[in-house]
Amino acid sequence: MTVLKPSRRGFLSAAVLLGGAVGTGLLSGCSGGSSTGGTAANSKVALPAYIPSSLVEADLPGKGAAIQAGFFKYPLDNLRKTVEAAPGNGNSLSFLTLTFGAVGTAKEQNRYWQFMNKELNADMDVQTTLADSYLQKVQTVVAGGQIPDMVTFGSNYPIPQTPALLKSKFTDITSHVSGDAIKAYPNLANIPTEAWQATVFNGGIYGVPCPRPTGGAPILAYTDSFEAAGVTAAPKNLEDLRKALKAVTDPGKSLWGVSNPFSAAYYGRLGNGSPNNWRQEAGKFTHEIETAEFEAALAWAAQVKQDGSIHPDGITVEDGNRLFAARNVATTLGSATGWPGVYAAAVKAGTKVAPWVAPAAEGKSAVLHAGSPYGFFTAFAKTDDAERIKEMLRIANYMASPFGSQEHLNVTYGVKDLHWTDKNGVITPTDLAKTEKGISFSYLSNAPIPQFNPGFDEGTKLIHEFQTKTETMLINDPSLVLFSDTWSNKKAQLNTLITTAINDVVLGRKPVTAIKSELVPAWKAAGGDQARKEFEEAFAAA
Amino acid sequence: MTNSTFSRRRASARERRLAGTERPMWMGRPSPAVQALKAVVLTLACVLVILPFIAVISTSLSDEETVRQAGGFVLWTTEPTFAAYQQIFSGGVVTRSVLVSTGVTLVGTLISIVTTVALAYGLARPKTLGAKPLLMTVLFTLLFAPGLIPSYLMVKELGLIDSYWALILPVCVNAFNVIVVRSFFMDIPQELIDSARIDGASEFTILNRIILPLSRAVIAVVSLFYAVGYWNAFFNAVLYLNDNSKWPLQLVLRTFVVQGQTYQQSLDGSIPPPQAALQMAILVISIVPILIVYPFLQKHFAKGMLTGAVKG
Amino acid sequence: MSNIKTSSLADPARTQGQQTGPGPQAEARGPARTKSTFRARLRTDWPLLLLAAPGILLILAFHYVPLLGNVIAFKDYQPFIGIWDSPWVGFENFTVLFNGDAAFMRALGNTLIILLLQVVLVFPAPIALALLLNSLISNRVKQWVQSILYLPHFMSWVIVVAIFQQMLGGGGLLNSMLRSADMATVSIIGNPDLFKALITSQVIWKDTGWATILFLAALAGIDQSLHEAAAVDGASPWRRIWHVTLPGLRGLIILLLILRLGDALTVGFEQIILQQQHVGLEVSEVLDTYVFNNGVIGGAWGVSAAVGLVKGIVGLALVLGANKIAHMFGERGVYQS
Repeated sequence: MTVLKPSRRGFLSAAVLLGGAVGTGLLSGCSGGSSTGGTAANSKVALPAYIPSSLVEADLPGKGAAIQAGFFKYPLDNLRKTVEAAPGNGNSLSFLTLTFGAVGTAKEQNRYWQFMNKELNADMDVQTTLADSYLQKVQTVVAGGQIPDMVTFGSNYPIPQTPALLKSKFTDITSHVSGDAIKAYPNLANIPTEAWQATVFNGGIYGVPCPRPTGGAPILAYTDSFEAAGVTAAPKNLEDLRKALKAVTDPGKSLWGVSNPFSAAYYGRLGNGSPNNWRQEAGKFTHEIETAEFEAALAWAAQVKQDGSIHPDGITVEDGNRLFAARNVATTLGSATGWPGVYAAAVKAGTKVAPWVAPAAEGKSAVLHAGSPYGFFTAFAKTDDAERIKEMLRIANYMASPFGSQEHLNVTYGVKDLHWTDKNGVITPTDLAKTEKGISFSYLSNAPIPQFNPGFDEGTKLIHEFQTKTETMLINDPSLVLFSDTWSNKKAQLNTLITTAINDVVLGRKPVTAIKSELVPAWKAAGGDQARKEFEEAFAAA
Repeated sequence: MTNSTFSRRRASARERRLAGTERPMWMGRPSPAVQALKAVVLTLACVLVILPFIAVISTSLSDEETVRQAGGFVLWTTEPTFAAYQQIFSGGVVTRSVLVSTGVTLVGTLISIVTTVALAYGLARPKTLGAKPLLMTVLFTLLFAPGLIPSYLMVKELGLIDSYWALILPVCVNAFNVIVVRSFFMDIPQELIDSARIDGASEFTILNRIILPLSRAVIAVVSLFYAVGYWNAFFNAVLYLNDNSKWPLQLVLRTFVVQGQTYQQSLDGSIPPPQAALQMAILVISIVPILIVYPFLQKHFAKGMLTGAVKG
Repeated sequence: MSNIKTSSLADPARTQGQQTGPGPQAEARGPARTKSTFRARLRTDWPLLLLAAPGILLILAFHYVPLLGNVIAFKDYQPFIGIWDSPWVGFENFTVLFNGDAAFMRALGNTLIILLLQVVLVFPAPIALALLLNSLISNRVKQWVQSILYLPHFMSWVIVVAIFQQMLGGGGLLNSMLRSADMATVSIIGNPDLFKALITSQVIWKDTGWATILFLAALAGIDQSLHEAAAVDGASPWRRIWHVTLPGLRGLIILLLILRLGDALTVGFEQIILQQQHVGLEVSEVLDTYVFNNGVIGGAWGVSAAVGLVKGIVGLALVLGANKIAHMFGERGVYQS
């Protein structure tokens, strides 16, 4: 019996939870997927010049977006300023964005917020929405007609008809940032070009990106559990991995090898060298599900299930994280931006965890799927006021200040002795920080993210080592730099088809042949073929 | 035992107390088999509910290690810790949202119940002018719901965006509740109303003196339904509120759930309370106010209030 | 007293204190009433209309005016273009339902089966529980038990599903105990054959306690003297339930049943989508999840509105039909003619 009418809102919020995060590609809290850039007009846009900042020398040098720079210390005694004058003009600016965590207190009580306003010389009205309701909120606000000055767009939160929306309600900022014009905003010039590519629509640049590391993710494994089961070294090939998973599985101790069918299939896909969403060869696009590698991966994963190595209750990504943290499974698939945190936390707690490189299948070479170079980008509401755009770009420039600068310290940690204290060179947040810092300024823009784990330099070294070692294994998703309307609209739906098929096959409900006979035709009919056509056209025109 | 006429003698306090302990004359003693069966069924039902709830409370009081060993759901914790609750309540954001939610719930329930009772009574006589079309108007709202964006546009038109009234007015009248209250009103014997009318009472007097006293049970129940609805609501806050300081409790609590899903290593290296503990603590915090309020309403729909109204 | 006795036992359709509405009595007042003019009725009825006014205005403002926005069911609606300017696409948004897709028919079939389970098992459960609680002597036990049983209503489906998995899952409590006792494990959570039984029991566990509240309120309104009279006449407890208690509840039961039918095609969305992947779409796809997986997930507002319209029309037809059937049985139903 229903007392209150069940609301349709249940639909759309679930859309983000399920359609956004589940699917092919790496799964993480804040890194995006595809659908950016490129028709013929788009490729002619001169992207901003890339002028890397040399403000602070990294202890472990980074390389592009794939290898993150590593730092052991925050240079508290040698802070440099990258911004001379306050960026704002004293105006009030609204910023619609999302959050993945606790929200800070209101502006009137929030000293961090007030501090930032003073630093920026602007009255920032940051309107934060919980990530899982962001899509509805944005579309509702847009429908209401009053667009906030700055709005966050993100590929995991695809707003339908993004190009048309941008064209009609947001400002084309190409003239402000293209080519050498970016030199006016040196911190924004520090953002890799691939991230800028994501902001290109309708032949122009429509926003400022938030870059993310693209390095691949390892398989995280509890080495002590494996050693107890007789597996002393990382498996060298897929077959060994399967045996290792079987060996470590012990239902009596509530321990299984891998948490869910999707993860198991992913191990197989990486091991077989399956493409990252799309493969492009001589202008022809093939989707991963159409490849033999994909089928081989699923066949392998189905065998893992038959071995009994998959946890009987695991199905989603959240299950995977939860079961791994609870030590009910011995391995988990890391996410590109999240795995260093998981790894560092586990090691700090004293558990023996190792990042395993995906082992190769027989006769194949394993790969890692590179993530998206951007997590979000900020678009500016349509205005003819060039000075306003410049003001907002300067504010974005402030937000994108690199690690080790005074501005970065301000944004990331807040006010000294109020939100953090200096304990022997280590920045220690105070309790106040927990309640005040939850204002999503950093989603305006950010500098390329380094690896910095204070008090845990060992982890930083290991992560850097992993990223360096596996850089050559990375394969990109060619569709990331192109744009297809169908793909952007139908991606979530198509991915659901794929996830369902993976679960069906790995759990034994359907045979592997169902991929070719059922999934691929259904996927093609539901928009896959159309997307392929659009990508191929875009590629040919580029 | 009681008298006639339309005024009903309220059971005295002593009678009420005894009413719960003595078996009424007319109720025969059920056979031992039936009694045993009843006991078994009820005990089983209670255990099936209590056991998970004990696990919920235990998990909310557990630390990382315990949660991990138990596989995410702790049945009984030996070393309780309030870390999860501390984290949730630290800083005042949650405390403030409790005030917001309490205010909205109290005001909202009051307005809702008044309008609902008035509407239900207005529609309780089929012969009333326009009764059937108006009733169909109400009924229709159960079948067809407006979309998110049109609702948002309406609220915006009325200037309610970022106002607490946006959390109350759009959901103020719930058709299901109206129809249920109306149904209970229609069960009140016509004779009572007729004799009051003969005595010259106006509709408002009838409502106050006759209908309401006899409807305590359904009004308590519907008030409970509304109150719970207001207390649990969060999505309309997402849509209609821009100012974070106005967020109601449920919305703020959700941030802890979402937060747990992205692994953030805390900057000072401390291990945060496990996400399972946070989720369970949130559930406990949400329920406690309802647990407190419920017994006050419960006595209104327990057996034994009516000791006979009309004879003949 | 004997009057009451004969009438209550002999005619279950009319019990004292449960009059079938003021209609017949009103008729008996005199012929003048039926010939009243609009103005005369307005003169007598204005207090009632005044009482109804605030509620009606609120409904009109916040429900009916936005309801006009459902016109987007026939448009290709994009928020930034606006409702008026979005292009018309006729019935295209409805094709997700009506293209005769085998997957859709399967979803419809599952929906109807689950609906049947809900009407037959889930709907009566709180009635039975309310009767059971009502028959308890001790008020205190009754209140305590009732206060416990309503608690699961407040858990979100995410938590309820997690609890069931923890208890009944392959890695859960039940199977752990079986394993340590060297017995074979049972597959409940991931078992397609048990899915419908599983979700039905979840709904019963979660909502029965809460649903009894309304029935208890109704039971409180049944005149005790009727029970007295029936007992004096020698009726056994079961006969008393059949002839006194249930008739007292009948109006409410039928009302709730009709209202439930108004929502017939909604059998649970969040609950099902959380568990769909465990058992595959064959057994778990229902109308709402089908629409979601095939259209809404892409943010198609028009499709969502179209499906809402279809469900509403089906619900309306069911409500009208069920109400008419109730009238044929002499019941009041939701509305009267």
